[in-house]
Amino acid sequence: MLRLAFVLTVAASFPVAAQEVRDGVASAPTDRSVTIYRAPHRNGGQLTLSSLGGFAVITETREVNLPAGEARLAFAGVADGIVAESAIVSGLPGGVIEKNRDDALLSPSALMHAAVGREVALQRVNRKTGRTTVTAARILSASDQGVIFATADGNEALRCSGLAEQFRYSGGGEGLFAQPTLSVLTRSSRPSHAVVKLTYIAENFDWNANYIARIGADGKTLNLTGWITMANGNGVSLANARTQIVAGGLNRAYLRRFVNDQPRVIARCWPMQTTSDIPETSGRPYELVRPWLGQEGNADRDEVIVTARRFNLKSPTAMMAMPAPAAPPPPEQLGDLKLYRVPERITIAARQMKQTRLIDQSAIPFETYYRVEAHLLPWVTSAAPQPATTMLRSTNDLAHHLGLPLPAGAILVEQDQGGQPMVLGEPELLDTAQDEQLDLALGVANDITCAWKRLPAANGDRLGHLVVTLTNATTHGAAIELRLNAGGGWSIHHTSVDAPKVDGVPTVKLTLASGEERTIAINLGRD
Amino acid sequence: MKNAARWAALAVWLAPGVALAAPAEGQSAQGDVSVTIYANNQALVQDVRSITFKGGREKIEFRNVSAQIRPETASLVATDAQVIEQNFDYDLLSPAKIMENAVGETVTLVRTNPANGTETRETARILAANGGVVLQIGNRIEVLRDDGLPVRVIFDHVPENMRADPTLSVTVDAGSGTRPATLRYLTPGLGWRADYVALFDEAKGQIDVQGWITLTNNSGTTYKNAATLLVAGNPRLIGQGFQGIPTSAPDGDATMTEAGTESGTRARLGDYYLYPLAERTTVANMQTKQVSFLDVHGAPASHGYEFRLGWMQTSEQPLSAATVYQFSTSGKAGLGDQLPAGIVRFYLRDAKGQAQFIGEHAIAHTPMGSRLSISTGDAFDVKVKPVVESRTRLGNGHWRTAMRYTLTNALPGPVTVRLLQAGLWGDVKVESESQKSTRPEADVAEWLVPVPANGKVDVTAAFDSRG
Repeated sequence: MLRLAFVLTVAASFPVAAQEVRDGVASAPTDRSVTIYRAPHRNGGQLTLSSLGGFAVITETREVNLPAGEARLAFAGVADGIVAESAIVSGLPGGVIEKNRDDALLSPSALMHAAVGREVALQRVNRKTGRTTVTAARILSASDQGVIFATADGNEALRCSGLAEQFRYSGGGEGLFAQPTLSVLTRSSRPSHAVVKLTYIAENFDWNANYIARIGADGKTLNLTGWITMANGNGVSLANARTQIVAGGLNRAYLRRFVNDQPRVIARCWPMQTTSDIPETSGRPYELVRPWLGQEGNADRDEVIVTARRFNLKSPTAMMAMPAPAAPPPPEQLGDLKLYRVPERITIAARQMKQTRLIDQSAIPFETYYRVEAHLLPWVTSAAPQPATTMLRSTNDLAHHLGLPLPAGAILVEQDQGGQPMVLGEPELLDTAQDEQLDLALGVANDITCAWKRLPAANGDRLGHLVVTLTNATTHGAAIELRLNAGGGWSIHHTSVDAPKVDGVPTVKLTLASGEERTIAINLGRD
Repeated sequence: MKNAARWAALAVWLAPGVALAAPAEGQSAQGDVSVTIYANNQALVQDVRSITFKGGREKIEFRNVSAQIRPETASLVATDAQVIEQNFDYDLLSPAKIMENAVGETVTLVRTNPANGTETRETARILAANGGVVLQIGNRIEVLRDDGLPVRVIFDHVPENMRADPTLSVTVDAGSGTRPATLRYLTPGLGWRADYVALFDEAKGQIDVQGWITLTNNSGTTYKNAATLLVAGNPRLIGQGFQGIPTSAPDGDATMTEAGTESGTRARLGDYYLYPLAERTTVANMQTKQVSFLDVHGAPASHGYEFRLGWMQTSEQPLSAATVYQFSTSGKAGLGDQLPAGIVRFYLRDAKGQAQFIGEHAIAHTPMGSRLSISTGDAFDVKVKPVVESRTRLGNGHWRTAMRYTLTNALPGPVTVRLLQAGLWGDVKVESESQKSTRPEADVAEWLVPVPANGKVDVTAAFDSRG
């Protein structure tokens, strides 16, 4: 593809006569830097190569030889997800007069459409003898309704005669590009050699942070490793690139973009029913015959999916086999975002996912507790026992062997069970700054329950008398945080144990021994 | 793309050659083209073509007009020429159409013997083209290709009104001679907006802004070597309703904090600003073209934080404050220009000096002298955790809500956060608060909260609401 683009651009430079604009081609990138940003508002979750919502900013260094006067420089091989209007070109001695991005791509349809009104060669092959006859023809019309051409005999329709026939075009696919191409018009007072930097935003990239928290044998500390998964959904490989990723939510502005809808040419015919055909269906006077399947636009889409699947299947094994590289240095402050540099240059191939180490911290002390959300509604008589949620808590500071920015992502929490790591849960982590608390919900603890019921009102007072029962059927003592939510204009007036407010909600903190049951009396009052 | 234009021009020049028995000789490719492009995907195309009039009534065909031309807006002006009738034809020449048109006419059939390849010619009259084609050959009647063997059908002419491209034809009554004629029409499919590259320097508190005009052509036609003028403004046009996401000119949601009152030096048309391109350019079909129009270095700019809470609510997780960059478009201490609607992309230099993208935002048409406050995204290290401490009913529909906002700063330097509590509809009073608030709008309370480096600050407020 790359080579084809190059050849076409060179070929296109010959027939220029009217304007004194020379065509030039920038060299392939001699250096590349890629900064990958994640999809806005996506915190963790799976990456799918076929639909990546993030983007990258790519800076390419290229060399150019500029003639004197005006020159049009083509940059071939830019990522196909390029947002053309974001392109910045620097390093041209004469500056940039204009930047262009052309979406007129070379395809069978485009070739025929461009040849309308032009002399082409009509080639017919005798199916029996293989004898080829070539006739001069002129295409009069080419559309998705069919193709009409004229020869010395008169006017005919393509592929309606039942003969094997096709057009042969002379010259290159002028003005048509193998890939969307960015070009720049510049002016130079004398021939010169320049090193040009091209920076642009390209869609269809993404990255993800994935953490694995392995709980140690002591049950009190864990080791936290983090991986960055980078994904390139473009058809262009970014070889040997300095690579950065940026963490943090940044704003993007989306405008409706025009799809590249080139007119399609399909060689349809006139009504072609014969006496052996099935009867006409009502509503459609005739069936159009389509000798070509009009699907040329989607031809490479299947291929993309196949490739993506292949990589999807591969990536887990690749992850296993990859020797763990050193964790990168702590991120750099980029405004209010975090910039991570991948320590070595890497190649992110077309439609590839790649992983690199983000963090590797060990012996992080943590505590587990059980969170119980009790929603107390005085007009309900009772609530059946509800299981608690297992929570894991730590703090992102140096005392806890952390104290570094943690980009949002899923944390796979594992614990060894007979030498085999078992998954306890996979909570989501939001972007977490230094000194923030980590409060992660692991899963449901069915052995710790909370039920409540309403008692009869005493002396007709207007309070709701409730009893909350907590039970622990586990083999260990359990630290429980019981959050007492009252709604609908009611509030907690009194509790039999202390319930200070945490985040605006009265919270009882207690420890239940194994097999213990405890009751707490609560009075609800109307505000 | 220049070649594409040449190509299209060539196509047009060659098209009428063979079988089109066109009545007029005045066919021409585009002449001297000027394009005036509005920000709402509309353009006025003026095409001055040199036409050789034969004298008297004749039909002149204009090929290479926009494929999306609004024919009702087309007008042709030439000296000593009067327009009698204007037609816009787009009856596409296709096999089905040419066959339908040939009903009752005579065509030539060329049969190829499948065994030895010999060709035999005969003349046939087409009786019908319903479902299949029924032919009369001499005095026998046949169905075309009923036996499935190869038969070429050769038509001796193409119906006059059928074309490969949309074509505007004008019947004029003119004196003979060659002279320029001006064709003018409106067409959708051409639009533009601005794209800005803003490089912020935190240490100097300065911003460099480059403005680019981004022009898109999806009208189906290439405009060769056109004098191009861009109009910053959206003239209201009949039949243009709301179209969802804007195609070219974004609205810019509340980035202008103060509208300017200064007048720029740019050319104006009515209430619109004009941006002529310095040089003629070819606007190719399916092309995005960018031309620079603004380059300002070292305008003062500041960087701040803003957190806006839509209503009184608790968040279990701390929420990031928005990063905000502020600058002016004023002539004295700013960019010194009005800004057409577009997208501003912010960049910062990283530790190695490379510019890195930090977020973008749409802006609306902004007069000179305005103040802009543009959010680029979330601050990783500056967060606010709002908590409803209590909500007490004081009477019927009368409540007291106590809020606590915990502001945290994990940065090594102090920051000031503009904390906004919105949603104070009706008669909401701030009953008590830990620091003094202002009310920039009726339903918003604002605190400017300094947060020390690696520090934490609590702001509390009690709101008394009736309603």
